[in-house]
Amino acid sequence: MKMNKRLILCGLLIISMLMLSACGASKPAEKVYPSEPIKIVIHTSAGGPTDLMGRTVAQIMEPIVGVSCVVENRPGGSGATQMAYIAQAAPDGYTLGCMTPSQLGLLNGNLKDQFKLTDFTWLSLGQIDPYIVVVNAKSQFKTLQELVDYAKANPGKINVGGYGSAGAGHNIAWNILADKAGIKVNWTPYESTGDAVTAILGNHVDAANSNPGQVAQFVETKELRVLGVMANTRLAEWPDVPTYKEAGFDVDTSWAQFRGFYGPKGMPEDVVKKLNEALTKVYATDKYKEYLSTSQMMPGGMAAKEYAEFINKQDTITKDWYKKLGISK
Amino acid sequence: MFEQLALGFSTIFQPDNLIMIFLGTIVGYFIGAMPGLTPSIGIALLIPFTFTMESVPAMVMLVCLYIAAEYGGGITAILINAPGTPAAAATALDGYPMAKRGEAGKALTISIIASGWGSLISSILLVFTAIPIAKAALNFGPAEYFALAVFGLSLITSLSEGSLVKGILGMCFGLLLITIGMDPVNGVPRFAFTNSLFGGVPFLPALIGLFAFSEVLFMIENADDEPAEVQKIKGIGIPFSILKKMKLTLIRGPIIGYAVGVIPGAGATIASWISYNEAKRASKEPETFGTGNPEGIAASESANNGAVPGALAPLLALGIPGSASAAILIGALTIQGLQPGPLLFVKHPEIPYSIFAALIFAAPMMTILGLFGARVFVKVTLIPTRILAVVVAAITVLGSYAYSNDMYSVWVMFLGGVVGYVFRKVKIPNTPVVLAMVLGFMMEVNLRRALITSGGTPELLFSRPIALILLIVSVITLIVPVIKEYKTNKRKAVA
Repeated sequence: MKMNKRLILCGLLIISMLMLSACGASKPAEKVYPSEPIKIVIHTSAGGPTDLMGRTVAQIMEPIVGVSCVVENRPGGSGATQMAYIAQAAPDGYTLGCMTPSQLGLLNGNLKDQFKLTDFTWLSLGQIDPYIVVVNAKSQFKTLQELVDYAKANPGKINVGGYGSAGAGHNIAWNILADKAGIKVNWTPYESTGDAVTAILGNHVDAANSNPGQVAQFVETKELRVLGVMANTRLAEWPDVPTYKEAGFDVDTSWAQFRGFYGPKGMPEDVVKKLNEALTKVYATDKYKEYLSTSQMMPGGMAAKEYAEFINKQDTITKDWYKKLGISK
Repeated sequence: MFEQLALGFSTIFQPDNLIMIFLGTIVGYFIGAMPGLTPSIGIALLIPFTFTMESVPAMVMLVCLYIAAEYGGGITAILINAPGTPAAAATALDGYPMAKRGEAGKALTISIIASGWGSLISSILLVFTAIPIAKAALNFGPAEYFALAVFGLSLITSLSEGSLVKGILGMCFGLLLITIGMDPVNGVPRFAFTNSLFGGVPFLPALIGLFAFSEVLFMIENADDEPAEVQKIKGIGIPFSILKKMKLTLIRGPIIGYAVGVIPGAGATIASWISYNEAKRASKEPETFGTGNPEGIAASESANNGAVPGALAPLLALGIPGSASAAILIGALTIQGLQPGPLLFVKHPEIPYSIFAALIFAAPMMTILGLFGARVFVKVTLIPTRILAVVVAAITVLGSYAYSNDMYSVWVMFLGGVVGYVFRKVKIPNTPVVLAMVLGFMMEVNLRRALITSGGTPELLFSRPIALILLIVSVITLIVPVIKEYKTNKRKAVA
């Protein structure tokens, strides 16, 4: 029985490998795009916010493009596994990847020697997940200004928690604010945005850098208070929460947690155009809008050209901050 | 509460939910028994199937998979010394020696009964204490986590059979391994000369290597040994007299499991080691632990299964994951359009209560399935050593490859196997290495966090009562056996 199970497992594995290699071998047909299933590769395991976006888009896009859209998870190396996979895929528009600032971080970090920005086609921005500053409801800080004033009067006293070490997306977002406000705090890194939320709930840090969807319920139950949103406009769900600019800190809001799509370099222009048309239709559906509002995200809706510029801009900010923080020379 | 729980039971007794509980349990067994596939990987693998399902059957299936996988890990730990899940490593300490003696049937039976019992008790605790205990767990800050990790490491004094110095040597080796990879605070690479090492030494492949592949090397050495005669399982197979002797362990295990499981970040693996250590310490014959004492199996298995409902408490009450698997379950809830968090009990009470009911119902069902399974699984030990060595080697390769779908993990596993073999030859126990790898990261990152938040002084570690108590207990745990050993040595010298 035990042996049989293993045999069956091995057999299944071999069959699935054969099927996979069969997928790779099929030549891009000279038919009109798209005529084959489109594969969307995610760099995290199933269930995370990026996975959720990929699956939602795949589900909505299927009837629009008329071919099946398959989601595949290839986690590993904070996205490096997926990135290497995308870079090697045929640029025929049948293999796309979901992306977040993680991939840009890799291009400036671990994969600096392997890949360049120009090794990929940047396709479309699906959503923006703005950064926010949040405190425990029992905290003495009622506004961003109060937090900044206190930090100014007591340099190095305040502890701010967030996902990632120096140079990670949340850390750069906080630094952009701190730089403008002229304050110095202790950055306390956590392994995930969720862990940082847990820490602020337990009052182990004075403030946390987070995203709206991560704290929405705790704001509703009045356990946490949001002091400001790093965006140009207020969030529809929280009309009382000011943007950083309204709170008195006119920062560059182009730095954001975002999620989009990319592919290997050299994708034909008409394929990129068709994909963009399909994705634009997806973003306009009620279902996609409903998903954005339940997960408290802002619409992205940038097509290839604009998105490539956006990516370049993000990359410049990343490089700047890596230098300022002493991560790269 | 009882009304809602009754509602939960009536929900799970609908045919489609029953099928899902059954399916989840079976799949969980196999996922758990396969070294390399952890409960969290199993849940992630099944999530895509829940996409089109209703939320209740989807959640009960995943939760049953989670709890059954924690049991399944013990099967391979006992039969071939390859812990199917990290939390089953403590099970292998006594389970494998028993299997070698031909008592695999007894070992499997005890492990399934302890698992089922642990799940049941812990689930009942969950129903009554989920919300208050999850809130209490929020008090665990950097100082407390650090102290908990130190306490965990102090267990090596009693877990390293034989020489204490060699145990500490093993621990230091494990801690050294943990420093490889990205620095968690400053984001600079440490000892990472290739890109693959940026994420650190992958724990599970290393564990499979240390335990299972090193065992393969030993099997090759002793290829001509005849397998021990297998004792038949008699009657329904429940050895009541043995269970009666370990009733204290069976009470302690699930409680330790539940309590450790509730603390986000600490989980089944730490719980099983603590429970194992407590059982050994309380035992009248501690020297039999590690040589095939069924009580060791019961301690480990009742705690690692008890940790599952524990990990669900912060998830259901606050939307905070208590473990890696729970974090993926949060994703599964989100996919269903449900927002896990403090409002889940208010907005969707059917979800937590049907999960409660499913957990309570799954425990006896899992036990019955496992008792049947034990009779079949025992046959593995009949395979001649030279054939078994090849099969186990194949499984270790497959398992470590499946862990992250690349050959890198397989090389790590081989290397771990060679290291484990050499260590065992020079009598350095593997347990402290594993313990250090489980706790090292938690210890480092939280010490540094504590130092950051208290402005560079260690004051935070001593000003928080829970942390202080844990640190004092660790010092006692560390010193007492040393003094005892010193005294016996002295007495021996006098005599």
